[in-house]
Amino acid sequence: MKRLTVLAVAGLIIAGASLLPEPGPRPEPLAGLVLDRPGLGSPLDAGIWYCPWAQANATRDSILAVVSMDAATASLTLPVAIPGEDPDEATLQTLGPGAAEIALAEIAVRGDSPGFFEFDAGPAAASVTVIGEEVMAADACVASGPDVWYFAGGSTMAGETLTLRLFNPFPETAKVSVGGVSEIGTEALGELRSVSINPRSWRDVTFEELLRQRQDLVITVTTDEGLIVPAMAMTNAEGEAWWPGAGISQRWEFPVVRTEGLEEAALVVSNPGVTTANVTVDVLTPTGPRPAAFTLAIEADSPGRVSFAAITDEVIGARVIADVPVTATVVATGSGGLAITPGVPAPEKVWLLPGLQSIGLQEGTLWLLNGGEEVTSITITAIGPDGVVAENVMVEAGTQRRVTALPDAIGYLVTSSQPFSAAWSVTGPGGTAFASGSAVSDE
Amino acid sequence: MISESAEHPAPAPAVAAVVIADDATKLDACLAAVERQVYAPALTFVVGGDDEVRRIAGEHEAVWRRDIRTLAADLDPTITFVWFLRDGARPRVDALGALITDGMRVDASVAGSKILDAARPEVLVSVGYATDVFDAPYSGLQDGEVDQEQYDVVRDVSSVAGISMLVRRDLFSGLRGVDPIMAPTAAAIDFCQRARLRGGRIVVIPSSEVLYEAPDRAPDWRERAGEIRAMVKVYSPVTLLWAIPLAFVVGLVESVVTPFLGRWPIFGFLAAWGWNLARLPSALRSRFEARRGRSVGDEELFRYQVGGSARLRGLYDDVLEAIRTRFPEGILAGFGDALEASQERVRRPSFLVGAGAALFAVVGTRMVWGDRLPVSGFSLPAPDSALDALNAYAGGWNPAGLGSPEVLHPSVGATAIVQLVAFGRSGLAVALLTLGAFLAGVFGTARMLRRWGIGSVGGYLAGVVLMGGPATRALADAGNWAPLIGLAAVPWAISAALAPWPAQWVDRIVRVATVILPTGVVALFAPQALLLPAAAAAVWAVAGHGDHRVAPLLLTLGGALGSLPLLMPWILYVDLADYLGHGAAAFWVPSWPVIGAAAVALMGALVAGDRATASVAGWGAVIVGIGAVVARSGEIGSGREVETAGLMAVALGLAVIAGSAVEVGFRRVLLGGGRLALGLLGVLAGVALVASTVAVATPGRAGLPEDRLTGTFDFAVGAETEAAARVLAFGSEESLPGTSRDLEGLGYRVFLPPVPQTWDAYLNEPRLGDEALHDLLLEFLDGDVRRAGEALSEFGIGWVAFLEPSPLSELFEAQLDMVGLRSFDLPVFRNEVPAAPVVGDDGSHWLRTGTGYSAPEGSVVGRVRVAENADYRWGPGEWVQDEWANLIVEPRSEVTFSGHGPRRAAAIGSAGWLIVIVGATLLGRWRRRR
Repeated sequence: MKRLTVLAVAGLIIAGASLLPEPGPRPEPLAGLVLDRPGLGSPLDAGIWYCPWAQANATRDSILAVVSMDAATASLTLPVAIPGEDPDEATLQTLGPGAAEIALAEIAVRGDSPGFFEFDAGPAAASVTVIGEEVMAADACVASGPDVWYFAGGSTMAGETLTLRLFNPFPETAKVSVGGVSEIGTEALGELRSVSINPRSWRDVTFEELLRQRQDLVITVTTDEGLIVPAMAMTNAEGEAWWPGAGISQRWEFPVVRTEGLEEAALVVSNPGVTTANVTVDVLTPTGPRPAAFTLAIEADSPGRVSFAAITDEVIGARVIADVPVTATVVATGSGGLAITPGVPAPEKVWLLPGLQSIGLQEGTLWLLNGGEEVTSITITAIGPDGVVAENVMVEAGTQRRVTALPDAIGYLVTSSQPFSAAWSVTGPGGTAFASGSAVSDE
Repeated sequence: MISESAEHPAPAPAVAAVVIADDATKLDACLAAVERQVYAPALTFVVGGDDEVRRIAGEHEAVWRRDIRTLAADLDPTITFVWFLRDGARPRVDALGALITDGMRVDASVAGSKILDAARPEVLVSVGYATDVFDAPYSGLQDGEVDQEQYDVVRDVSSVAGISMLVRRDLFSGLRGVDPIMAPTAAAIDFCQRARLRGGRIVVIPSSEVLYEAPDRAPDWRERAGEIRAMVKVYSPVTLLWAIPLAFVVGLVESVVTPFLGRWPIFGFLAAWGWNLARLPSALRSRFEARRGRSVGDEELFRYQVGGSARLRGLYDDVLEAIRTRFPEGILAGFGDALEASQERVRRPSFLVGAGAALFAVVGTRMVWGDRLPVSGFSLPAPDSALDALNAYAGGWNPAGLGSPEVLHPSVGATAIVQLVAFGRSGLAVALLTLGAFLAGVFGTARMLRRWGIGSVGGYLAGVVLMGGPATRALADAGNWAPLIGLAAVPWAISAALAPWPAQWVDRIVRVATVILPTGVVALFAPQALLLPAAAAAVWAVAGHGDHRVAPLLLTLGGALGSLPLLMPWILYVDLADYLGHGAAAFWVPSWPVIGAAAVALMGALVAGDRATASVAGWGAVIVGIGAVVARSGEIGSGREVETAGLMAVALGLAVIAGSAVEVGFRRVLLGGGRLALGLLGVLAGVALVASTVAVATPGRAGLPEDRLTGTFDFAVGAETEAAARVLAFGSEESLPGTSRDLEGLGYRVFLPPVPQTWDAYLNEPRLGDEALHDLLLEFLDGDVRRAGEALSEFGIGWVAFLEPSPLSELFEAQLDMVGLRSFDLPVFRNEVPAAPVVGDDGSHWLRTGTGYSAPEGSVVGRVRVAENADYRWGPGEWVQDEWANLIVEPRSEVTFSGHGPRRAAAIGSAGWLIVIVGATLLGRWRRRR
């Protein structure tokens, strides 16, 4: 009897144990969090701006300009490509909003000096303008980037040089693979597969020997290990230009496509996809927009070029719409120099344009494009060392507006209640340069 | 030398007889025998003993002296020889004359007699000794060997018996006599060795016969202690360098094997070494005196020594004898017979099963004692220095994470005490504890079940299930090393409580102490299971059979109460709710085969077993049930420690069920068909539970998980002169060593490479530094940090490692001052900014010393920043709080935590209580032997 009792008690306890509820599963680590890699990996954080193309030597110098919406300290680091050598450093202070600039020659005169700005507050942006007797090249630095960088707009025709810079600002070795497509198809660049770039160093790849006589050469840079910031520079008989890499999008807007002295302007659109891209190009003229001025089908892994020479009116802006993601860049050349810059993939309400200024013989121009369907009021704030000057302009739907930069400005902050596109150009004795604006995300 | 001139015979030399007296009842006969000597001593002394000894000495006109050390001054210069006798000696009438005559003839410095058993005068006791290199005596005699004059030749020996020993007076004075604190045989060996070191000759004179009334009363450990002391006194440093460690190993082997013969020399072994440690200064002084006038080297001492170990040789003989006794017809024949129906013969496999169980313990822990403890979870190596660990435990700095003054887990202090005994070797201490625990667990379970009449076979197999069964495997697999040690002590606590209550009050006190001691071991290594013995006893009180079931419950409760002081100061400061609730929620999920085997074994024992086995099996089942409830109580907030306690209970219960089920097969009970079949099934299920322990035995890691961390962080350890920076490790709670902190569901913790140690296991409650680090990591998650290295260097963090893949690692890849190291299996990032926990204002990185830090050579600093959680007791020097850290202005060459006085006092009190408990337990053993 006692055995049965003990058995029953033990059974009851064990049954009770088996009925105990299992604790709920622990949440997945970091569940629900969006981890933004600072710098390149983050589309939101713009704390570090990488400027891969900057030069200072006997014939040229670079103006490194910053704009910040809040009071900030921007620490500039210019790595030296010698292991163990300390980098050159400088610090810029901005008010909120504020802008500042520094000539590279004040910090280091050793030819190529890619670097990066670290802001302790923001949003902020940076740009580099290379100025010399025969050079005027400018564009925005980058704070974020895609996994695959696209450089459309290059060519290696006679008298042209095309240089890809692979800048690794990080403390570990990076590896990238460089590919290319041109009007003759996919290029064989086996020797540029898994290229190592030492920590805090850079490597230049020139294409005029590797891929001769290509008119529309689109270079891709894919990161295999680590992180790199690439940039492309091109020279021809008329001038020199540098531009950052871009991603792919189904929509591109070009607030600036041509200016005085740049008679030949064209869009280079590349389709990196596996299907044919049907592309429509709307152009803006002083007389009004001309929707679907061009339509073209671009086969997979091929570039396409749209020359505005076919348009009798002056083309002052353009918009590319494709049924698959493509990359697009504007190339303008002529007696005024050479200017190349990628398009704007998405209109935004706030733009920062560091380095936009008119100084001496240089004239800076702000280009605004309202690709929407409503007229929009845009506040243009010129930021100088002594303060800001703001004005409102109205931009009709589907039109473009250009504003000459003030002499005292160092940069611009442009805002609106409706999304729009912004870019800038600078013209001087050395030539003309196009530069993208830096969008400030709503998020 | 003892000599004479043939041409001019010298006058007969005068002899002083010295009787060492311990026992007045024997003295009278001894003195009478001395008085009857043909060669009469000129003077007789009696040394030692009480007033009764003094009275008897007076009756025989002998001079009484309290201490042998004062004797040399009393000896008249006319005295040529001193004849030492023990009070049990009964020298034949011509014994002294033979010693004088033959001793002088061979120029002996020390001459000893042939010793015969007074009760059986034909049986030899000693004809001089050889020794081994460890100074253990080896008589060369078989037990009970009859004197057939086979040894009757004057021989040089290593030592003579101290029962009758003739020594030249000047040699006696020169050597300052016999060492009074040594046991008799060891003292004689020591004296002879010191004489030989000075060129003296030691001979045994068989023509001098002395009957001896009783064996030496000194306990074996005292003799062993004396042997160690004798070694220390005479050997050269080179010999000591290898002989002392070897002596320890020999003792260890003896301690492991001898329990099979029913003896437990481990305590004597530890006591002997402890005794010598305490008396090391006096041994060194004696060594200085002994070796100052030496005329020969160690080679002379080795001349009459036997090869190997005399103790192991004796042990080997004993083992063979035991086997002969158990299996008179040979091992195989004995085993075959054991399978016969005769119950008496069925019990014979016990020896083999016991040996197999011991083999399981040895094999199942071979990686631990042969190599190292696998580093995973809470299975961590002990700190390098036992003294540092004890200092940290006793109110010192808790170095876990960014440090705190919180009290360390008591297992740290307990392990350190063992480490002290193990010559400070942490690996040896862990190996001893692990192997010892497995052996103790196996044999303790057998001992416990024997209280209820469960045979040795069932008991040993139950012990194997206790230490290697499914629940223990689940326990160990979670990286719980310390609870394994505690688990092994549980059956000892219950067994001690189940023993009959003694009649005498002294024995009662001793009994309580013998319950407290194993309960204390449980408490020290697994505080959460402190009440497990009492809970088991409570279940027995309700569900068991027989009388006197309440007394064990009261005793185990008393044991738990008496163990509380051993947990001081931890018990005074621990946040029990946090301790019991931390970690993953308790929810043990046993496998269905385990449940099935346990159920069938239980049914077999309950249905087919007799009343005793059925009651014991039922007891085990209820314990399993309660343990399972506890081990699955995560829903009410129980954490990993509670699950551990529950698993310990389940392990105990399963062991009991398995043992009971197997025992059914050995009981001669006539059963019907159904019950017989169920009984057989139960036996098979019990055997299946035993067989499941192969999962523990095969890897040989004591059930602990695979080593994941040893060597992993070696890259982070620089040269000895370089300070190591901390490692910030991310991973799941299970993959990280010890406890961890939570970062949005991802675990993390910091530790010093190469691996965290036991004192790093339990992180403190978050303090300022921990919160600052957490805030930094949250900022990091937001993507706002670009120079993580610079920020982490403030915390002394030089490395970031991910023990499991995590998207967080991508954030480190994007840092400007963290370098990803791609040659490792896991993502590791090196901080480019130099980092160390303690940095001087000259940039020097201070070196870790215990839980403090010392300045590197040549560093002169005005202030030093200590990246430990701020506490004003850091110093010496002026202390300034530097946000969450410490700044020491004008430090000396070391910075340390000065300690918490009351906690230190509590720890000392705890140690004192432990000594009392151990002392009382030893007293009990001594009384039982008497």
